Amino acid sequence: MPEKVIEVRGLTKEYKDLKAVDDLSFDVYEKEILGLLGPNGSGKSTTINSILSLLKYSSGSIKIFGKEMKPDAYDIKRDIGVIFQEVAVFEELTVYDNIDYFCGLYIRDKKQRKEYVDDAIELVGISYYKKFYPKQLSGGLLRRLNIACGIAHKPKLIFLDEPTVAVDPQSRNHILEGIKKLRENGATILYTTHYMEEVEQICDRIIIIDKGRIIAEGTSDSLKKLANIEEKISVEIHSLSDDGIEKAKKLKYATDAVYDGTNLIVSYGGGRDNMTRMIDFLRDNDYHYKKLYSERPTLNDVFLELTGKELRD
Amino acid sequence: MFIHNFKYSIKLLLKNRQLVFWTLAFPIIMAVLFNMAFSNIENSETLEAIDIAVVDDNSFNSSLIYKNSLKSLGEGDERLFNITYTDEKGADELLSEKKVTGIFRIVKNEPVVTVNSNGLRETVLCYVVNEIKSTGDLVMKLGFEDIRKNISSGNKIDYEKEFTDIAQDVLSSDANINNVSTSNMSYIMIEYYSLIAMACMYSGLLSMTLMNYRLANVSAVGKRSAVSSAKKSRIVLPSLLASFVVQIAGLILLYLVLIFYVRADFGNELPKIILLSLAGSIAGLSVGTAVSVMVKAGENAKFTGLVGVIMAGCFFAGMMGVMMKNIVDKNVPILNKINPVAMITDGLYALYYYNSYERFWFDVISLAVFSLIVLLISINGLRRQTYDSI
Amino acid sequence: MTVFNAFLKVVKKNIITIIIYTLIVIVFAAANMQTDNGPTGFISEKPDIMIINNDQGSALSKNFEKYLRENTNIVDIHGSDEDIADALFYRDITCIVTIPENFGKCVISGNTPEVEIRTCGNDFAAFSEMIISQYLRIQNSCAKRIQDESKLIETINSSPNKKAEVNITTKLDTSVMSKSKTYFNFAAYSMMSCILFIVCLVLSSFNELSVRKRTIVSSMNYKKYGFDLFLSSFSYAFAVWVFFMLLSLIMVGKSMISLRGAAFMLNAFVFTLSALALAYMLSCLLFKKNAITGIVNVLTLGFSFLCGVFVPAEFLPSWVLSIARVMPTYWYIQNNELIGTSEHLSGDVRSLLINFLVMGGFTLVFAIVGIIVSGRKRKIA
Repeated sequence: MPEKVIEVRGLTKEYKDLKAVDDLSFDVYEKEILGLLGPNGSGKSTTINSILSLLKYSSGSIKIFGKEMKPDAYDIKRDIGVIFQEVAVFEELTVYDNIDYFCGLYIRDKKQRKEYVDDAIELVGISYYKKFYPKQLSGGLLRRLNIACGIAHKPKLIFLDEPTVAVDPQSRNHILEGIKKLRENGATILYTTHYMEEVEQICDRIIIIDKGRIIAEGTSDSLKKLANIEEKISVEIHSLSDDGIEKAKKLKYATDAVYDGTNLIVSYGGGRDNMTRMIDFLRDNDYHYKKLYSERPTLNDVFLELTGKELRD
Repeated sequence: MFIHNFKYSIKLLLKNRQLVFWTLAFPIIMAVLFNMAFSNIENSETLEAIDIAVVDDNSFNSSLIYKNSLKSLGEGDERLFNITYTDEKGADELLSEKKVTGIFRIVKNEPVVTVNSNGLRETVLCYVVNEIKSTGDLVMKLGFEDIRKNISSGNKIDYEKEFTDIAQDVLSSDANINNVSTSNMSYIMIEYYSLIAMACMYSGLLSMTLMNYRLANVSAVGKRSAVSSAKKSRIVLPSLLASFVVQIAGLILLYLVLIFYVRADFGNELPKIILLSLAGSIAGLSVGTAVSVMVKAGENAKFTGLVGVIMAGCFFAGMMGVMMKNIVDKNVPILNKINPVAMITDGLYALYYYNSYERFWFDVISLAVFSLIVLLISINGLRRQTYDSI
Repeated sequence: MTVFNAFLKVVKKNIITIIIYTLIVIVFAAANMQTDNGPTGFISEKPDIMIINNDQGSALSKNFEKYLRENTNIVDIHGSDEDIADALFYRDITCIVTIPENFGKCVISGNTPEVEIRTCGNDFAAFSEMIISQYLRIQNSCAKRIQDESKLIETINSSPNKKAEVNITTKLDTSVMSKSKTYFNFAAYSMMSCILFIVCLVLSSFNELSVRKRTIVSSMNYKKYGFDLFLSSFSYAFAVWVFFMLLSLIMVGKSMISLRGAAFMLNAFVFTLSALALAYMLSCLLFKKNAITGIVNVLTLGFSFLCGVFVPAEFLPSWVLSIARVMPTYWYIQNNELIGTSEHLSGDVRSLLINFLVMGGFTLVFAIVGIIVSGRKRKIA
């Protein structure tokens, strides 16, 4: 049984008449990457800030490494690394100096620190920019620097709060690969985001939250089962009458059919050979189509099913 | 970790251009400006020779008393008057062109003075004319008295000599005045003192900037500090020390400018002045720390706010007009007893002007007490650092 | 409209700064303005002195005091030695006279007692010294001949009843004139600060790279946009001018409603225009908000110190005044001096106009430099 690294019980944070976090309870296990998925304003950052004792919470208990987490729990903090949503670096210092400074808040030994800093720079891939100032870096590189500053001291537990916002795809991939590498090196990671693709790409377990509450928890596959959708087939058709949509809805195993003027999307609750039946349906009704493809449900579908809203607003 | 934080604190301060300007460059620029504006002001305080026009006509020439008196008052290096002897028309022209302060003429055997406006020079001219008249009358009176005595005792009298002797006697009589004025009367020095006080207080900008970097609800890097395993004292103390060091460097530069360029007079009191500056800088540091910790506002607002508060303190301490300090000290003394800028200015003034050190030590101790109180408030605020919202 | 609203927003945000500058003018001007009401004849400017009489009993010392009372203002400073020393330092009194013990006895016996004075070294102090020494000389030389105290006093006091006749040529109410002049001089600092600070802030935020890029690609005609900016800035500057003119009515009084008052206001308006142009030029050159605070402060303080706002121009060294000529504030102050002291304005119209033209020249130069710089920047963007 893997050790519990974080134990959150009944966490509640109230602002006047709004409950930002409402009775949240969950665990994070050793060496797992746990994704905290939810739309903007769902309480992800509030949760993280509360766990880190940056924010006063109204009620609940938080344990990290089996010990109660407090603002002055320096022994716990030694093994925690945080990458915040906003880029937290000094404009006045170079890339190298920034990482060195923050690492120095944890590691006193100069030699060891130098080693760690070089490792961090290598990990995020910004060796070329060591002597640059933050102002001279692009958005993606800044984010990489941001991460390096947070993990240089090789923490056992890492919090990443939406680390890839406004980042180019190349940097994003680099970051995600880097996070996997960190886990390979033994770290436990709590990752918040509203990008479901990332969560599906790297997280072992996912918690979906909305309005401060957990609405679903589990692996990617187990969550998708909640969507009551097994398969979705999309067809690019130019013109489709309402009659045609109604017919599509009546296909075997079909649960819903939506037409947005260009694409007909049919959701299936189960069944095999749905694709074959679709092709037959199109041919029988003499519908001219351009593209036709099938896909598994996404977490967005899960979210939509559970809340009636999109993940990305 | 202390040295690590200290080293980076210094780097952060020196690379912040805005900070460097306000704390190092601005006081020096002000010192230069002051010097340009004030260098002449006390020369103009002394009473220079007054330009007058005298209507040189028959009436004047027959009034020997006035003629001779004015002549002697208009000669020599330390003369009271620069006299232009001219005719009626010339005199009027000179007066209307403001080339002379006043015109002196004799009309029907009586002295008449014409001036353009009220003023000290005009008053001096009138006073002197009146005194010539009085002295002349007195000499006459004394002379007649003497002559009467001589006549009644039957002595021979040389009238002219008699009056001349008496006149001579009166004019050269010794007043026996002992002028015990101190030479340290330059009240422009207050301006420079308040400038030093301002520079001391600007150390608050340094400490505030660094503290902002440590506070989670002000800056993103503050959050990093807050979640790190570094104890607060290991972060805050090196920051304060770094601010202090940079401040000292700035003060040294300012003093060099004041001593060598402005040639401000600090007398033999340099050690005490240094002590006062250090105390003042610590007061400034504590204010900056307190503002950073206690005031809930954005970085820019805090910065401009602190600059504003310091400048207001300078204003009441006399930097924009020496009289302000006097007015506050007389009417609202409590204000300058809690204004650290005024404490520093007053301490420097006391060193310059008084013979005893009582007031100086009072100011130093006030500064120490002030700093202590403010620092305690800050430390208390820093202790509990979880926020209601971030 | 959007531009105008942005202006209003920035003004609102910085209202405290504006209030502070206004307060500075009010306090300064009030502290420096004379309070005596319109003289109709010659009024002597008497020095302020303090007498410490250690020989209260003698008639001679009382006589000395009487003479001093007639020729000076006697000020009594209560308090410690320190308070008295402070009063001397701050020129509340210019001289302290200490009459020694046995002053009277000393004089009667034909000796000259030592009178101690302590002065602040300025012209009034020199005058006080003159007055004191005049009396003592008369007293001492009379005392050589007269041994009877009451006769001695009578002789010393026997000044003729008729004093010299004094004519004063000016019909100006100089105290009111100096009040107005003081106010308008100080107003230069505050008006320029208010205009420079706010206009620079607003215009430079519009000039900031990202905003500029947006504006250039937007559908708004950049000429109209430029005009909007100009109109808003001008309205703000105009409002500042109106505000300070209304304030002058309160501070100086009814005498502002006159030809001379109008001249002061016109002068201030021309100055406002040059300040506005300067603000525009600065906003084209600077963009960092932090730099603006620093530079605006240095400029306004610099202008004010070197052109005769805080220190009257007559006290400034001549080489400083030559430097001051490149600042618009200098010409504004010169005009204030003319308006405030000349007997007949009509005689000085030519000089006034010349100074107006110079200020107008500054306005033009600033505006042109600004336009050139911003034109270049647009191409680079």
